Amino acid sequence: MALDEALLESHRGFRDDRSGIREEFLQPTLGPGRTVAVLSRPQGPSLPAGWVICHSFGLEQLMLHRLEVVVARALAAAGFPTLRFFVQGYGDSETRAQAVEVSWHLDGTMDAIALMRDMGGVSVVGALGVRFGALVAALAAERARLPLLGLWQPFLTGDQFLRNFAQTALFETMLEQADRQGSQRLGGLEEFGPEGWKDLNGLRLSRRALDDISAIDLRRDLRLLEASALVVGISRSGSLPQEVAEVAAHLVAIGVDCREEGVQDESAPMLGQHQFRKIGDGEAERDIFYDAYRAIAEATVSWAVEHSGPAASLRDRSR
Amino acid sequence: MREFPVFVPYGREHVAAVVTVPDGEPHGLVVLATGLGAPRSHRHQVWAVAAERLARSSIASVRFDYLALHDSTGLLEELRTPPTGEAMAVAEFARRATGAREVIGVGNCWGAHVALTVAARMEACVGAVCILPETVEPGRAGGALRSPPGRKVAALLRSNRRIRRILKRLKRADLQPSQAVRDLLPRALERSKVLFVYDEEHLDTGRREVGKVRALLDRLPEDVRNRFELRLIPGRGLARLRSVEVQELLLTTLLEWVQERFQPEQEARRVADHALSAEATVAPRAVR
Repeated sequence: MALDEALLESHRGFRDDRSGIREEFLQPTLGPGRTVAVLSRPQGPSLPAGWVICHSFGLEQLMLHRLEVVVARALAAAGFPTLRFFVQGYGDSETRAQAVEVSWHLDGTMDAIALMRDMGGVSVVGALGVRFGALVAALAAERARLPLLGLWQPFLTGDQFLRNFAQTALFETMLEQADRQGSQRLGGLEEFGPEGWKDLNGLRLSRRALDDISAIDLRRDLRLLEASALVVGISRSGSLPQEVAEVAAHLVAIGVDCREEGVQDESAPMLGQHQFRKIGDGEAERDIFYDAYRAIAEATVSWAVEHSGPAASLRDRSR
Repeated sequence: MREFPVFVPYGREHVAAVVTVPDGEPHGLVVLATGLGAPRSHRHQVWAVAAERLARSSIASVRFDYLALHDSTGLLEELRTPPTGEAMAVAEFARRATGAREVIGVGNCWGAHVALTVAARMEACVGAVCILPETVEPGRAGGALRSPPGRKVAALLRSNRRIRRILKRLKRADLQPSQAVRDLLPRALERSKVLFVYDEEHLDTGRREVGKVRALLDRLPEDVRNRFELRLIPGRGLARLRSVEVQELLLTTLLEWVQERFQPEQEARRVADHALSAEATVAPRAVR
């Protein structure tokens, strides 16, 4: 039997009448290689604002992926075309088993924005992102002069993100080394092999990526942004975490129309880590961010509906 | 190699998957399943890399997201059992699409259960690779302690250090092969080879667990029992693919084993092709 290409092509997408959306897999070239993206759209007419979602760094990409999916589908149900994609070195992208470069995140996002702009009916594009993805979304919004920017649990600097990221990674390493009777010294992020990358719990983390992330500082890097922004913070108390509040304060200081939203969730400190917890005696696993992701999606859709109209009337400044 | 991202219908939902096909006709199809929480490409893209290497060896593959996770549709706050239904749907779809005659299931943790299910239920399946499979579950005593009234008793017993230690030993002794292993493994072994893969980190628990599995296997006919194989990957961190080295060792083990399993099909094809070409050569002579 031969390859049934028609069967495969006919299953690239689906329609869901319950939510009123359709989704389609795309295989565009974004950044330095071909990758897989998903376009979520309403079944009916689309609103003129389209969204591009930027994912986080390292293993956080897969830990936070469902948040992107939940928001993309909620936005599509509200009428917005929304694109999510794998940066080179992640998921189904053609670059595999290599140390990821920060430029791949940014270049991929710029190409994704261009792809969204070229879609029929889209007159304005906004960027969304979570944690490190929020840094990328903000940088891309500045570069592409986007009028809409949504940031979920953002950081003000790359260093802030790295400290948080490293704490989790080193904690995992510590646990593993504790298993080995703590006989070995804790490996620091500064140690790199001859290939230029360090094996951080299975992740090829390069010196260059660390330097490039460390160089990000939104206080310096965001200057031209004239946008409406949403900043969502998730915490146990429901108030914005300090670094998130700092981002919002900076956006306001440079004249951005910024809405702040706090999401209260007991699991907030675990955002970006494994999201399933055994319940009872381990007979079931619970998604600890099930409610939080929906709350973030709701806040994002409500803000997007409110702000996409005025933004669309202004149009993308760089078009 | 070519890759086709697809949404495979399953009831009212859609399972996100990527079918990878080699340039020529595939020698077989590998169904790549993950543990709970990992996406179809797996942690650090290990299944995406596996798909690429398998394709280089003329083997097709399919990797997929469980329902309600990653790009698949569905809403579930709690997950109770390894989702084997959608895995079977994906395997059937990919077999139809690629034209592969034989299938091998591969997976870790929940994915190991999926691999065993594919081997037990799919006629075309010739093998299963189960990476760190969950092979044991509490027996009668443990089961009783997990019931709502039993939990109260267990909590009371755990409050005493000495009883807690005894309880721990009893729990270990009480372990029995899981229902999945009891039901699926013998059925899978009837026609497929099954490989269990452990690393050094899980050797201790693995030994204890495999002891239970061995006891189960001993009750099977020898030819069936002989289709079972266990391999140990040197090093640690297999559970979360926690080092580049362990990722590479797993990929090498997987590729070697899968190539060996598909060889009979390749051999059969070579013989068939040879026969056809011989006929083709003979026919013109006969015309003369």
